[in-house]
Amino acid sequence: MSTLTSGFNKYKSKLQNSKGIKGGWDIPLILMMLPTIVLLAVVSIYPFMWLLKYVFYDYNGFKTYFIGLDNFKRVFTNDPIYWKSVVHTFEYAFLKLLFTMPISLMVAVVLNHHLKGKNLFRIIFFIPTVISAAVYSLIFYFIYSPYNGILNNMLMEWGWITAPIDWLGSSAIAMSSVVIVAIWGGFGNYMILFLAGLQSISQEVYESADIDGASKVQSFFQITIPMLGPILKVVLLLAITTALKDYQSIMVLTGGGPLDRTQVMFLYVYQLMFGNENSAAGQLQIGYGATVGLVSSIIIGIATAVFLKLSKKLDNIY
Amino acid sequence: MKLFKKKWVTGLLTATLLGTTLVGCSSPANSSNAPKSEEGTIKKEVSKEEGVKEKGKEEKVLVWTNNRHDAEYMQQVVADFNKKHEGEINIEFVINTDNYINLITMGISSNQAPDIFCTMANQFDLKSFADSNIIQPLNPYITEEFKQIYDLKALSYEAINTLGEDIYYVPTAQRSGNRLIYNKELFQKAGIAAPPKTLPELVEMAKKITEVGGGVQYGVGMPGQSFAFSRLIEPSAQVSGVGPYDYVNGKYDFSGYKPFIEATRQMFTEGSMIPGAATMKVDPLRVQFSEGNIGMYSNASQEVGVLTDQFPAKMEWGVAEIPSLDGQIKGALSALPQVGWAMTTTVKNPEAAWKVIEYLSSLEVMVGYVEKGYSLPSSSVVMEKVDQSKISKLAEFGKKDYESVYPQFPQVTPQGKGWKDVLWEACLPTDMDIDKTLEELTKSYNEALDAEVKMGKVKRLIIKDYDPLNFSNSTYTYLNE
Repeated sequence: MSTLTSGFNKYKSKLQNSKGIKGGWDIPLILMMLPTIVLLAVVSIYPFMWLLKYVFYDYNGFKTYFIGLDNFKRVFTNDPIYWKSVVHTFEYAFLKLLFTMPISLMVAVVLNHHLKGKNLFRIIFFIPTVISAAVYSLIFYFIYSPYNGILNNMLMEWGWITAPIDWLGSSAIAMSSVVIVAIWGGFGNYMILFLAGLQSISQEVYESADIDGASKVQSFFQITIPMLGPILKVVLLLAITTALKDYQSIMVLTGGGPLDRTQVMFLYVYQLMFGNENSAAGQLQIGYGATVGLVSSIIIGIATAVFLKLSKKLDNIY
Repeated sequence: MKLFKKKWVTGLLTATLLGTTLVGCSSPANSSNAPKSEEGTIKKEVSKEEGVKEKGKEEKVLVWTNNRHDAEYMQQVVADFNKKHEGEINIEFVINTDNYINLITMGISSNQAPDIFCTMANQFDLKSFADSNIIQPLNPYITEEFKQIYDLKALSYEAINTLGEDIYYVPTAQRSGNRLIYNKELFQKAGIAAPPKTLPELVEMAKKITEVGGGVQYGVGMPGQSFAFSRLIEPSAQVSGVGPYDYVNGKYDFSGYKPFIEATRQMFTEGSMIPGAATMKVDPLRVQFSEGNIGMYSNASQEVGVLTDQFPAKMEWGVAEIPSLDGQIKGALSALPQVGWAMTTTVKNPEAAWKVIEYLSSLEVMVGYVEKGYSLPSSSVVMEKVDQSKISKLAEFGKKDYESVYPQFPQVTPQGKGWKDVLWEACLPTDMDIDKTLEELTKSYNEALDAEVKMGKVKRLIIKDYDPLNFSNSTYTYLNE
């Protein structure tokens, strides 16, 4: 909020100093900013403050019991499931990014050329982004089904496997299965962002390189990648924060199982705050869920700050 | 001048945008006039004027349910009611299946709760709901006519639907205890003459069916993502006299579950369980059973409707009693009162709401409900009116003399997972140490129980003369320590 205010003040003084505008408030500017500020306050800041209060309470949705710092004590000393979920979140995010970024970039580069039907391919690859994660995850749930699932049937038909594989029920491969769905659902979105970045690179630069005798591979590594630096930084930032917060598709596919193998931070928070369909009739743990949510947000904040620090070089356009 | 004009146009546009945004954010005016107390709960203050219908004004009664299987029938009976009471009372019938109880508590906090909601045993903690003024007792509204259909004394279960003399809902139906549902053709194919009486027999039969199934048909199925533990393992433990709570000493004890976990794990390791059971939901499992690919699974009376209408079975199927550990019945099989209509404290017109409850519980509605195979009735008066020829399959789920509604033990929230999750995970083919798991689970639940009793959240229940087969005449003691 303070950054916002200081930015606003700077802008105001800039306007006041400029020719033609003397003193006073810029009403249209304020009116234009107000909806965003109001919405931010109502749907983001207020709920966050509301939630913050409950980190000191045992709250089941309608009755509160003050318990001091017990929720924090539990997070840091007596909740192995949560810390497992933190590790799984980073594992999931790392694997998702490891494949999504190169695939998105490669597809964007290919579709940036004058190919026949490139717009059709762009639409097809972008479709997963506009479909609800719950819907496509449900489709994948049936594709992965060990019994009569399309994937197992195909692999068995081709003779690649002899017995059906339990893609989502086996601890050894459940995470990989979940990551495959995440890659499928995510790469189209980043492909579009990369395409926008690629289109901003002037063709003259490539032509100059061509005259100088640079090969396509050289052009890609010496021109495309460096000039995509700023957009790459934004895309990576978005991809990291999104991957660390992902949980919808995991909730549909495995519910965090088997044996917590695919449990991630925000799925755990969701289950504490809204209940676990499969669980015994325990009560909601909104107070503890708020605490876990707060700790998770801080972890994501730290990860983002580390990334921003490490990625400073990407800002330098050649 | 130009700049001035431009600024005005921009200002006008942004003001319009701002206005529409704020209108979108505002809450519906005067959604309820119920007084609000701290924590968003509603204080019960029924004024004398309440319930008096204004002349010519139609009263709206908002009804929520989480039952989807009876949706077609219920929508029809609601339409009939609305037609009959046009201009007087109009029922708005809403089906909410996900996070149902959560939605009700949130609805109370935000003045958007239903007037009436459908509920069943163990769906929520009655004492917490009553203490927080979410629901109200129905005693002032219950009529003699209603009592003639429903024997209130027999249908009052302490801490389930009643607290002392206060009745919060009257179950109109009874979910039978679970049964073993089996594929007769697969049994024949595997050379099995009769369904199992003991758990080891069930494990053996599941293996036999899988062996003759040729990789297509499997012995048994449990839906890992839909209350798997409650389907077959928990009922089998119940009839063997094993449960999660030691009523005599007033504490949790999960140690008795070991042989049941071992038997389930054996079915996994021997490949008798349908592949994918660990992450399967209940409907895909039902589909596979109705297709003839599963030898046995377990559920209660609602499966009649499922295997007749929802996923019609393509083969002959039978119903058998749940096998116990050694063939002896040593404990009661849990049967759950269900389809009870509770009234919230935010109800706008309690008299109109009660009329709706009375109608939904009436012979007119309930006889059809039972004949459609949705559930067994809780009332013998309803059962007498039912055309028995229409419920032949449902009759196989008829009440057994060892079925009963268990006393509600304190529901606590331990640090860690719920007990059914932990016990199901122990059933999976892993190297998880069963003894250690049960020991840790018992410890964490008793720690939570001690802490929550101390906080005043729950009371410790002790039944000194507890008999696992008959607890209707037991003496319940609730302790604050």
